[in-house]
Amino acid sequence: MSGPKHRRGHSLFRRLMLIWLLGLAVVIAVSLGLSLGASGRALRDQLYTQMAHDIASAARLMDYLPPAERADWLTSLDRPYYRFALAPPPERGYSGEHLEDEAALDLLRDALGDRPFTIRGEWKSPAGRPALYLGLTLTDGTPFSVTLTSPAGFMPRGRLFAAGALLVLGVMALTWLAVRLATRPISRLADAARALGDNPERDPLPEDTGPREVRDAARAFNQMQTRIRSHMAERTQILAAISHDLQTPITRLRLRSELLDDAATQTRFNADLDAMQALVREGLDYARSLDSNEASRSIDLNALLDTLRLEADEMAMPVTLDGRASQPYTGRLQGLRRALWNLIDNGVKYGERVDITVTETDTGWQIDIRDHGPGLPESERESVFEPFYRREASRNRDTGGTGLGLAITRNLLRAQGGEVVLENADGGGLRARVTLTRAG
Amino acid sequence: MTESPDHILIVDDDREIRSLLSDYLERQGLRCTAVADGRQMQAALDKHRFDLIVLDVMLPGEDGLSLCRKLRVDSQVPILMLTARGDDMDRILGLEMGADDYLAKPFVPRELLARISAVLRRTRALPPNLAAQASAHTRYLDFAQWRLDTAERHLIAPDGVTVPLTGGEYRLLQVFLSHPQRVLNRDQLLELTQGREADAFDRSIDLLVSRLRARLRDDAREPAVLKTVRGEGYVLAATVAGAAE
Repeated sequence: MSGPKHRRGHSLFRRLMLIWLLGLAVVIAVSLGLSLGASGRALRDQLYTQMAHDIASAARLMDYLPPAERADWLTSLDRPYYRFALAPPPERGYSGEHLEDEAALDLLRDALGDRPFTIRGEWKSPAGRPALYLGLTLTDGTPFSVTLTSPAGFMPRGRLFAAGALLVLGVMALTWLAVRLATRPISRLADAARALGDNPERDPLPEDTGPREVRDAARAFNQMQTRIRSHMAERTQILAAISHDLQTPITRLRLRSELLDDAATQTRFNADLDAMQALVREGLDYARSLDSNEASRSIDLNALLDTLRLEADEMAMPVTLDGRASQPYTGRLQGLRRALWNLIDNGVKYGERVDITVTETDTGWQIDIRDHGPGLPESERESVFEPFYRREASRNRDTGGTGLGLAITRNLLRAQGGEVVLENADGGGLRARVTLTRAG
Repeated sequence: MTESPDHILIVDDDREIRSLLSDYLERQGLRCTAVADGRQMQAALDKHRFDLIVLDVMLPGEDGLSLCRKLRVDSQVPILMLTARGDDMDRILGLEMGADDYLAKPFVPRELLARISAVLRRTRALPPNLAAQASAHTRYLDFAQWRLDTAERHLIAPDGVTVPLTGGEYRLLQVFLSHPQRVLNRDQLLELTQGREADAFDRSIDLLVSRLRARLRDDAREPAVLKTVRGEGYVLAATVAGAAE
């Protein structure tokens, strides 16, 4: 909803990702180390030694056999991965000097003794797999060659690393998914808590989706919301009850004051009653502003502001209106009307005259209610919205305010997704800036 | 013209308020009878003819709203409701139930007196044939695709947008809607909206009419809803239908 998603400190998401990936990296490194390390090497050396000796003995056998019998023997010497031929090796592929595995070459040299040999390699032999071609010469000068073919599924080291990287990427994607799945409910809960602050009447969280822990949290959250709501309702009821019960005695006093003979006393009596009645009324309005059930409707903002201006005019309050809204606003009419009226009334009280300016913004409307008074020091621009806040120079009492007007105003606006802040205007005076958001 | 004072029936469950209010109104030249609940109210109504009833909403037993609705079945006696402060529901329901006006408690006695006088004058100012129309108690009045909400006192445009009205605009529109297709001159309009005589230079009605036209998105040069009848006054050129919903 509002506020930056990433604040200082690492997010749970990042921490979990880090733990998972570090763990996986260790596992992969260990297994790779094992296969490429000492034990893997010993196994391979054994294999190469056997192969080298096989090739050496085949060459000696050919030396020993008469040329006519050699071909018959050859087929019985073939092994699954290498076969022999009485012909020079093909002239394809790369030269064997660059063979990766120096150790294998040494083994071959040892086994073949002083018999010279050539070696060539090819990444893709006619069989479709990497192959090595070994060229030897028998003692009678006959060419003799060995073709070593990699077993199917053989993988050169480069490709092995590529596959490893792919594996790591896949695991990372899965980790991201899993961690997201685990942290999303927490973000949702945070969003819900934030929204609860703005509107305690918001819909409860769904309690029947997600894993058990998430459902539990949602249920607990919803219970908390219900309790908050009932506390608020209680507060409203108490305020309403007190002010309602005060209505009868105040009504009696009003009627009794008419019996007073002394006009001056009667005037003061009535002024006190006005103050009492205002407090009762504002107390009730404050309670209601927290707990409004007014329905939203589409409102002609221009007509509303014009109506307020004219009503101020009728009460000899100097108010000007500038700007137009090009489309209707969807919200609570009575609440908005009351909120704007409070700001206009305040502006005239403290700032002699009021200029209202309405402008359209990307997200809705901005209504500035600017007075021409002394303004407010920065330190007080927020605290004046607190209920019963009294300025040090207590202007409120002089003008008959109760200290609830601005609190009511803000509650009414926030209840419909709006906001009000106070700023000092250029050229003096205080500006109340009301923002309203467009629906949808 | 009756010379005897207007007779007011006060219905309120608080004994002190009853006696203080009676005293106050009697000192202002009215005649008062005060009762505590609906049963006593009925008994008083059987015995006397009253010019106006001041009815508290909060009553033991049957409440003021329900008493008001029952009264309206066979009586046109003006009713002024006393409601709890700020309780819009009471106000809206009170007007729907057929009350002529309402006043929130705690009220200033002089304000009550002024309202009583205004209601009495209003009901007398209307000729009998108009009075019948004016007391058709429905919450909404539909005309020319527009709708007036008489409880919340605003207009609803053909496109569904709510158009707020000032008190003066509302009262003037009310008067036109109570006298559809009838030419009303400035004197009549002033009398019906503000209860005062017009002087020759008073243009306030013309100003109000032009503002109402703007609210109704009516073309000022060629108005279709609120028409000017040269030399005579203004006329609402539309039919009016009441609607409860």
